[in-house]
Amino acid sequence: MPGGDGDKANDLKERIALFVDELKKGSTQGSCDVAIKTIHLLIRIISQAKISNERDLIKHVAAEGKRIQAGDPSENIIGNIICRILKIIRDESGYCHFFKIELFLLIEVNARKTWFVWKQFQSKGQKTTVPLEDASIIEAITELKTEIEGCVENIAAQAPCYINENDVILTIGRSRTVEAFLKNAALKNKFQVLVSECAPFYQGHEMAKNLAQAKINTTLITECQIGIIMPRVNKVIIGAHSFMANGGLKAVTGTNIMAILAKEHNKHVIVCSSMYKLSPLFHSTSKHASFNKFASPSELLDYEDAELLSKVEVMTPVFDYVPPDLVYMIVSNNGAQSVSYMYRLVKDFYHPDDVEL
Amino acid sequence: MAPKGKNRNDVLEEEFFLQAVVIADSFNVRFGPVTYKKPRALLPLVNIPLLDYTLEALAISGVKDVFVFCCHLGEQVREHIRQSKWQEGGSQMTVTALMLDSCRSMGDVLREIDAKSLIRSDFILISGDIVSNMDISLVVKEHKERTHGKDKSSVMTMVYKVALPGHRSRSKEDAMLLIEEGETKRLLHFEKSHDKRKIKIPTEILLEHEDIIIHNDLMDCHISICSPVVPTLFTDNFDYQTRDNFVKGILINEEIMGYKIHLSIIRDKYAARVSNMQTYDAISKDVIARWTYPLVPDMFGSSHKETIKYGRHNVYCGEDVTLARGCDLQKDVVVGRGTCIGSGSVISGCVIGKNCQIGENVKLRNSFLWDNVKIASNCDIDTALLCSGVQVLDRVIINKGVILAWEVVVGPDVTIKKGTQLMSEAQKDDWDDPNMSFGEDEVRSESADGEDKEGQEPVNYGSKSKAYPYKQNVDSEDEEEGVVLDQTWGISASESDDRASEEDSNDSYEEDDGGSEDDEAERGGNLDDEEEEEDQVDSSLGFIPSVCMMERNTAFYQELVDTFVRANNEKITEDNLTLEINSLKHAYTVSIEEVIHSLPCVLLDMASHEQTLPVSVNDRISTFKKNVQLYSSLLRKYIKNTETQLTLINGLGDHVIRQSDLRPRLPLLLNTLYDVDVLSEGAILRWYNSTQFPSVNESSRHAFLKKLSQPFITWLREAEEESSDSDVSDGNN
Repeated sequence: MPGGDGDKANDLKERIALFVDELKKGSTQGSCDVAIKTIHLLIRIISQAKISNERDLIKHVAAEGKRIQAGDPSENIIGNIICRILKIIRDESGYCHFFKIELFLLIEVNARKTWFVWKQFQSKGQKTTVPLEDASIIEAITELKTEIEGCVENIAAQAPCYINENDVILTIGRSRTVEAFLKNAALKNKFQVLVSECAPFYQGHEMAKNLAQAKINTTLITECQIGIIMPRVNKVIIGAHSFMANGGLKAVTGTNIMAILAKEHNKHVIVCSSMYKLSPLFHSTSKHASFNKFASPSELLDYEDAELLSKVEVMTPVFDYVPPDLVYMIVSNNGAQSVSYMYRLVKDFYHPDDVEL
Repeated sequence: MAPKGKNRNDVLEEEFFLQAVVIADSFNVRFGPVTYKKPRALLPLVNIPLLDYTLEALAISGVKDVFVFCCHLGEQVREHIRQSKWQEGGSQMTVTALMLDSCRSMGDVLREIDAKSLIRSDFILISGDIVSNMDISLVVKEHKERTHGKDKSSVMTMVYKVALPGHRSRSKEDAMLLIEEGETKRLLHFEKSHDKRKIKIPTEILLEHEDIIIHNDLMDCHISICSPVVPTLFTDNFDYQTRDNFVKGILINEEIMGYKIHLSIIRDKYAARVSNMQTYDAISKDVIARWTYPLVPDMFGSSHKETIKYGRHNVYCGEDVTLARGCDLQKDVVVGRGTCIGSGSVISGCVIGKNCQIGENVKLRNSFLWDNVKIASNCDIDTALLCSGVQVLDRVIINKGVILAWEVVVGPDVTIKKGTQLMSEAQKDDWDDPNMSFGEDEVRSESADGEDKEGQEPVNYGSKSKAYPYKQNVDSEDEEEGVVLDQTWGISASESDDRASEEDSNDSYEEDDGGSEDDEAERGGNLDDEEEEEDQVDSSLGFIPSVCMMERNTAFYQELVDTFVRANNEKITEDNLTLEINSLKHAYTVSIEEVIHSLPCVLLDMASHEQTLPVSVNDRISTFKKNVQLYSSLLRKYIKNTETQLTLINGLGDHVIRQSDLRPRLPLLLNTLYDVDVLSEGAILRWYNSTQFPSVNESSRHAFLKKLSQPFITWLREAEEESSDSDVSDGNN
């Protein structure tokens, strides 16, 4: 058996290494993919940990989570998922406490005695080590997984409420959620979509192609045309990489300028995003090491040009921060949410002790 | 679940089992005093050992099996690999370190691979100091398609990156000219150009191929995909030492063996080799500017143990960094974990290692500080490399291109000259090359030098210093070494304009007052450097020297100087020396004109060759005088008639053009040769009065030399008149 355990541990390590490599290479398929993979890894970590103590398990999961997160510190989704799973662990162990107290209540009919037990339990506080039930935790995590898998579908189903006949919709780059959202809306209404190409990575090209294939009237535009086109637009519908605890967005470069222009022309910016993308962090959290990701300048400048190379400093940020006041609403799998309500949702999803891994 | 995972791996292995051979040794001493204690593969580049970059590049490419061959200080490499993440469970790649102490070149390593038959399929051959973010497996695929498809005879695919001449990452040593067959990407011709202005293209290439591309815009990434036959070829031809030898061999014997080499050119990805200080500098800058993404400090350097934060203007900070109020990290700065920087310090373009301490009001520019470096207050450091444990005491100024090796201490209150290389202990002569060609005399002269310097040291490097100058051994056995372009680091390719103007100002300065010691020190009698300067001298001369000067075979010339130095030291008889010169002439297939052309220059350069320290002009002139007297009969053997005398004068002229500090001394040199009857009056005057030249360039060169030699000619004419006067008076008597 120990040999088998060693094999399992190695297998887990290998899987983590593989996932971290994937993150580093950037070969993951969208944030849903990242989320699901993280959940799979965490399920393995928890089931192999064989720790029955709540606090130790939390420590263990947080440590392993940190290792995964190190693969790409700017990938908030991983952090979010880890925090949510930690919260699940806390909740489940909490249920255990509660369950036992209930038992006491049933058995000890004497109210005074029950009060005493309750008191005793409280005075011991968290020092009591309550045996955890792996199965219930994993069950809860699996539920979370199903929820995440259904997110895109869920959001897309709400599309007809937001898109009307003959709307002109502007979007940027490629978001799987927005793509599904628009495709779903197209089943009912006819509308036009303008896709900004999102240089220098040009995810917009793929988006436009996919939409056109779904027989949606699609036009691909460059970023510099956003300003000209904005007066014609009815709504701006965008996806986000993730969103911060204050409702600010972390989205592909170019989103900020688009949101500012929309504000200028008084158009609504609607964000389609799943709830697992809500991060418990703020944009300015000091330990939040890397909000942004900076890619290689080779996207913008030719390396072979010797003369320019030493004189020019090229920045290639992958993300923009869009302040919350530019966002009208967030359409999530839990329904449409006002941006100002985000702080409350953060409290629902995350435990304050877990926010910083 | 576990068995499932294994199955998946099995499938992967069958499909694509990639092997790589990493050679963790450079087989040269480009890094001087630095690689004395640590092999090149472990030198930190932006605080991460070079070998880790190479291994990561291989891991990114999906390589499964890596053999690292360690030679010089191999135990350290092995230990490093033992502790690396590749040895942890769950690693995707197996790294095996193999010790090969006896290997002295890449060829030896490959022969060893063949002997042990380690390789079965196509493999990646890579040097242990490559920084790359490219997916090498794509090139491997390309190679495989080629070998399995139409071109079975392809043995090697070499990876090149586009970088225009003058690019900072292009190593001067690697400057090369390639001819590629357009459609098939086949390599047809390979030549190291070394900034030559003339290139020779074999006519067969032009005749046989319709579509060729001539490349001067490529830099060698030192990554190649080899077929399993390559090690065998190395065994068959044991004169192949380097990959260049191999490539040349294959190209020359193409008809016989039928093997071909192909090229793969990358544009958007990054791959470069740290081959000397200049490329170390350039590649560090590239890593900091994120060209090597994702191999950048904040992603590659970070792990679960440590995070590195990335900030505006490419400033990277590790954990527990203490930045005092008022210190300024301007741009392109990397600060390692646990480092303290004092207030008022200004830092830009620097890499600072772990646990360094930097005092107040320190100015650091373009420098590299490794771990545990201590810099006291009020220092000014520009473009220097400070290895681990170096201490720089108060108020030290370090100029460009300085290398302070392990645990050197300098200061307080000193200025360290440009290009100084210091070690913490006196150099022993046995560490580098046990079979040094110079024998005992060299050792003796070195130890004598050592004593000299010890006397001066406290003055030179501060009262509390622990520093000894490093002396580069010219390894005459290494073929490459003969043509080393030891470019002064700190003057990067992009700054060459500044440099040119600097040189110009130097020139004019020297012409004014006969040359200052400092500039000579910088010049250091380095011939190759001198040759590079040809361009920059242009403006002051008014003609293009390279066009009208006789082309000099550098290797031959170097050998000739060596021969003379040895002859001088070992007191070889004149006859034997003549014999040696003649055999050299045959060995390098140079004409007798070139030999004569070179002779006076050799006698001049002997002075600078015997000592590594730069020699003043006066010293050189006096050695020249001494040598001319010593070898006058030998010279006379070669210089028999007026024609040869003219060649000799021209040779001297070329040499003077090359080395501007000698220009005012041309009359003196001519006089010396005249005194020992090597040059006759008639020949000198004939040279002076010659009027027919093939081109304007030549005539302006002649005019220039004429102007320089004017005083001597005037004297000669006066002497002639006097003597004729006396003749007349004799006749009268």
